[in-house]
Amino acid sequence: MKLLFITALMFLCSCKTIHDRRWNLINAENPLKFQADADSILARTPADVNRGKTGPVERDGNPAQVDIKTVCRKVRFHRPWIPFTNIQRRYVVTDGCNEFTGSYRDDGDSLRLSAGTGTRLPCPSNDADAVVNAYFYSTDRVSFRGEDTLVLHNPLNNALIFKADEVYY
Amino acid sequence: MKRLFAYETALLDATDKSIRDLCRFIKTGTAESYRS
Repeated sequence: MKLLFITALMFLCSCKTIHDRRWNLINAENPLKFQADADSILARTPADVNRGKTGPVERDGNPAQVDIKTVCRKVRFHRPWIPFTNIQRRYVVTDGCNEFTGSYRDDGDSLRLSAGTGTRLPCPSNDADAVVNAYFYSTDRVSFRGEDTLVLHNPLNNALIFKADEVYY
Repeated sequence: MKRLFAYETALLDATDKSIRDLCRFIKTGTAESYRS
């Protein structure tokens, strides 16, 4: 019994504290530029939006415009970025209706996301997601700054910056 | 491979609630007020 107690005690002492990291968005660079980007991205499919293809966009002959605050009230919350598997190294970005898929690789300094292909389903009530996900569609590179900062880069210079909080169990 | 895994796990967690946080950021315009 005493031996069992000592063994159990040694096991408990050898266990490290389990901890995890939670990444919180702390900044979206060029926030004032977001409205203009959202307007230009509206009505485009993921494939059109990807890799910084910008330009005047019109819907039914009218300039596309959107009220970001209204959009955010309507947006459906979901995870926009999903890796398929470690082996395939492919990702999917979704706005809840259309999906954009491509591959990714570690190039040494950052994670590179390749240009890919997207579905073009008609999504009549999908504007909110399309606009807010604009940051994710156009992300072409992901990098760490130090150990606790994660940056999603895109050609529009609307980087998303996340900070890690350590969570202990 | 270890770094690739670090990217994947970080991205999964970061993007999980990032749309909600992004909207909060756009509404408030401040970093501190939308941290969860």
